[in-house]
Formats: sequence, C-alpha cells, structure tokens
Amino acid sequence: MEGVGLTEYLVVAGILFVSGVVCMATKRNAIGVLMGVELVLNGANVNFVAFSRYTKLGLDGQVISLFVIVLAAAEAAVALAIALNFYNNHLTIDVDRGDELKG
Amino acid sequence: MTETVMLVLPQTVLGLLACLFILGASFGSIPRGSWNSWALLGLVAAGCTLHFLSDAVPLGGTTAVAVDSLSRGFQWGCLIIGALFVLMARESQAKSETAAEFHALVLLVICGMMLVSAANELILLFLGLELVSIPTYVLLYLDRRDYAAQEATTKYFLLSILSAALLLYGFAFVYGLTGTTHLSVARGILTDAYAVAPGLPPTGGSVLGVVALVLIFAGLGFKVAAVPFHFYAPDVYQGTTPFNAGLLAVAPKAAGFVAMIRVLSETMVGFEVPAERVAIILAMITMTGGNVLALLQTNVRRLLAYSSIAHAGYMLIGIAVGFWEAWNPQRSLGGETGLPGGISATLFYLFVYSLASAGLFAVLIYLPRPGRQIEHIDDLTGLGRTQPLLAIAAALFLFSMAGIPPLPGFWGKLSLFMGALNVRSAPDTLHYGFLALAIVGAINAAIGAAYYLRLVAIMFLQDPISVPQPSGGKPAFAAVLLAAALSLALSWPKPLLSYVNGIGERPGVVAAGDPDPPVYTTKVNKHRTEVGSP
Repeated sequence: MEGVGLTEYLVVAGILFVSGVVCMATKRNAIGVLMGVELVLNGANVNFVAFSRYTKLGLDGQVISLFVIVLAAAEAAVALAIALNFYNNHLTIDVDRGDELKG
Repeated sequence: MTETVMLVLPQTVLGLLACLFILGASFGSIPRGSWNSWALLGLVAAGCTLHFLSDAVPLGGTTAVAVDSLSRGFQWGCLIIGALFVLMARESQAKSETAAEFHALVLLVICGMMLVSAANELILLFLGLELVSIPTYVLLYLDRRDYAAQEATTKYFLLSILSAALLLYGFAFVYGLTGTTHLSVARGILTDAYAVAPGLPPTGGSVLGVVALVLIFAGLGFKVAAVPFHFYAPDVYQGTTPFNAGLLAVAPKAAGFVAMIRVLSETMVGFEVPAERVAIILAMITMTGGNVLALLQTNVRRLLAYSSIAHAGYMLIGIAVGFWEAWNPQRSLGGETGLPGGISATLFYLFVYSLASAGLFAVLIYLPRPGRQIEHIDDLTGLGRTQPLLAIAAALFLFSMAGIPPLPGFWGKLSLFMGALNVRSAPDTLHYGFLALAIVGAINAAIGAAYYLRLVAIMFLQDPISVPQPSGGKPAFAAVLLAAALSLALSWPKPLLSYVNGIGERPGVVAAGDPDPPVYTTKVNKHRTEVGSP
C-alpha cells in the first residue's frame, strides 16, 4: 500500500478526536465519558507520532506521546476514585444524576 | 543538564516536600497540626532558593526552562498567594485526618503554577498545567463528600480533562507546524517563515496554525473560565469548600493566563491577527456574560464564581492588546519590543485579582459557625456591626474588584482599558475593535460595581440578623488582614507596575483628577536576547 502518509494519519487522528468529543457529550455513564477523554488524548498522540515520523522532526513527538500515556494513566486513577465515590453515594455512575447545583 | 535542574530548584523543593508529606502521613507519629507549619516552611524554603537563584543562573539560551522576569515575578506571586492559602487552611486542617495529603496537594498546585510560568517547552508546559489540575481534583474530593461536592468534583474533573485534551491537540499542531517542542525555537522558526516588516499586518500564517490557535484558546479558556467555557465554575464553587473555591478562582486562572502568554503571545509569530480577533471576542463575551449573570446570584460562592469569570474577561483585554502590540511595536504608545504593555497589565491585574479573591475567600473561611458554611448573601447581613474589622477588609477587597480608586483593582482596570484605547489602526486613527473592547470593558466595570456594592451595602447598611460565631480560626483572620494590607500597599501601584513593565518612562497616561499619578512605564525586553533558532 503506497500513499499512506501524513494526511491519512491526521485524518485518523481527527476522527478519533471528533468521536471522543461526541462520546463525552452524549454518554451518561461516567466511565463512558472517561473513554471519550482517552479517545481525544489518543487522537492528539497519533498526531504527535505522525508528525514526528513523517516530517523527520526527530523524536520529540514520540516522547510527548509517552508522557501523555503516563499522564492519562494518572488521570484514570483519579477518575476511578471519583467514580467509585460517586457510586457509593448515588448508587449509579450516571453523571446526569448529579443535578443538585443549579442557578 | 545540571543547569536545567538548578533552574527549577524552587519547584523541586516543593515537589519533593509534597512527596515527603505523603510518605510521612503513613507514619502516625507526626501530629496533624504540624503539617501546616511544615508547608509554610516549605514555601519559605522555596522562596529562599528562588531568591538566591536569581543571580546565579544564566538567562536565555535554549534550555527547557525559561528563567526570565516573567517567570520570576510570577513565581514570587505564586509563593505569596500560596502562603496566604496555606495560612487560611491552618485551623480547619489542624484536626483533619487527611491534613498531610491536603498540604502536599496544595504544594503540588503551587509547584505546577511555577513550572508553567517557567516552561519553555511544550511537554513541560503541559505537565505543569496538569500538575495544577490533578491535585485540584483530589482536593475537591478530600474535604467534602456530600452529594453536591461529588457532583462538583465530577463536573470539574470531566471538563478539565477535556480542556487538557483540546490543549494537547492544539500543541500537536504547533509541533507539526514548527517541528519543535521548544517554544523559543518555535518562535524563531515562525519568525523566519512569516516575518514581515514591523508594523505591517502579518501574512496570516497557515490553516494548521489557526487551528492550533483556536484549540489552544479553547483549552486554556476552560482553565481561566472564559465564556463559553465557564459553565462549570459556578456549580463547582458552590459545591465545594470555600478554600477549594478560592484556590480554583486563583490557581488554574493564573496558570492559564501565564500559559497563554508563553505559548500564544510569545510563540505564535505570524498569527497575531486571528489571535487578536479571537481574544477580543472572548474578552467581550466573558466580561459581559460573567457580570450580567453575577447580578442574578444570591449564593455568595456562585456570585464570586461569576465575578471571577468577569475578571478573566478583563484580563483577556490585555492579552488581545498584547497580540496587537506584538506586530505593531512602534505604533503602540508603549513603544519598544518585548513583553508588551497589554500583557504587563494582565499580569498586574492577575496579581491584584488573586490577592482580592484570596482575601474574600479567607473571609468566607473565617466567618461561618462550626459545621455550617456561608451560603446565601444574607448570611453576611450586618457584618459591619458584628465584625467591624473583618467587614472593612471584605469591603476593601470588594472595592478593589469593583475598581474603585485608589485601590489596586482600579489601577489594573485603568491600565488594561488604556492599553486597548492606545491601539491605533493607522497612526492617527483609533482601532474600532479595540475601542469597542474598551467601551464594553468600562460598561462592565459599572455593572460589576452594582453587585459588589450590593454586598457592601448588605454588610454595612442592614441590621445584623444573628451574631456570628467565627470558627475559621486566627490564622484565617491573619490571612484576611495580610491580604488587606498588601492590597492597601498596592494602592501605590508604581513599584509593581514598573516591575511588570520593565524599565523606562511612559508619559501620557495620567488619570484625570489624580494629584499624584503613578508613572506608567514602557518595557524593554532585556531577558530574551537570544530568541531564535539555535
């Protein structure tokens, strides 16, 4: 397969990004929303790696994506603690059930 | 390598100390009340390293860390405001079983803010911003665990993480555009690619750059709570403790603005025109949205949340002017290249705003009776009689936020608005976009005064309903007094203004009717002599 180049990777990253944002906007389930976040972060990662690979810019992009993977893990840890605590009180992780604060 | 480590020594001190706190908490022998003193000592130690490093390190160059007057001034600001916050929490954390973790997280937030201001590298900048965000999620979760608090934590977490992802996606495009993660190298590359003669409009850059710009603005817009990315703020402030609300009103906002200056104003050469437009629009809707919605609020923390949104709008004026001055150095009255007047005004306002916010939230921490928070604005009724000193301090902060002379908030607003008025589209013609911006700003300052003065009126003109039984403890009261003293001292704003502006005199901006106006100064960029490709 010739012709798989930077553009294709950017398109894939764009699709990942948009799917992630749509997922965050529509999912009710806290874990579902979290998966949307992971999609968006990975969209950015694909961008970094593609730029790094196809434009001979050195390894900076790949290093960033490694950092981001670690960071996403740290955030997931906090997120799961928050979701667990939410579940303990609300007996659900449907984020729409948190609706006390308005005004 | 060692040099880079030396440059972040203050941050390293704070980070290591935070790790020690969390480790030390596993050993029960350390009394809970002592963590606060250790945290204060840690801040002092970080201040000492910052002070002694000041002359010890070479400036500029292509290290991952930028040590310049921006980062140094911002870091001092972080330490001062941080110390106020640690002081406020002293009493409430004295018996808390999570005191060690709490103080560790606060230190990490301060460390993250300092890292962001010193970042000269996209990775470091992003990690610094996350070091502000992630401890904040945990802080929100630690102190209050009722329904409302969980909702607040969840909302803040999900939106903040989305903003981080947007920001990262924008960074990816900056990287693709310039081929480097190093900000001053990126600036050099963009200057080579898009530079035109100074004073001419930039050629406009490329689509990739504009996409990056918009994404970064969106990501940082969440951090500074700019409309339309603001909607989490009121709910989160209401649903958490006054301490956390105060920290949220200051830390992410300061980090967001300094990141904006680092990655947009100082890096995106050639994209000033679209950036300027985005910033003008954001500033206008943020000021107006924040102020108008604040008028409708009856919950104190919600009101302060909307007021903090409005203040983000004022600070965006300075950012917008900064973009204009970046490609128009000779047309702005500020003259010279370098850190432009608009951005200096933003930095000044940021400090003044942080001080007033910290003070107000310290009042809210000190005041409530045990087990009950100040919720409705009527809880403050008659405070002028029951707690005169506290009420005077609170009024001082409110007046400063409303921009009443001679308090520092007035000088901040004045320099922001004058910056916008000084913009010229041709040597003798006002720039209509910026003129409109200044007018909208002035109208908003009037709207803002309405709800600040309503609070003052409630405190001083109404009879007290009940006698308050303050439970926040003497340290919180001391924090209020310290913030008030600093605010009063800044009513003579010349030292700080000339610090943020650099060196040189700037005649022509004189407030009418002021007998002894501060001298506005231009700024000469001394620290960035070696910007460009390595």
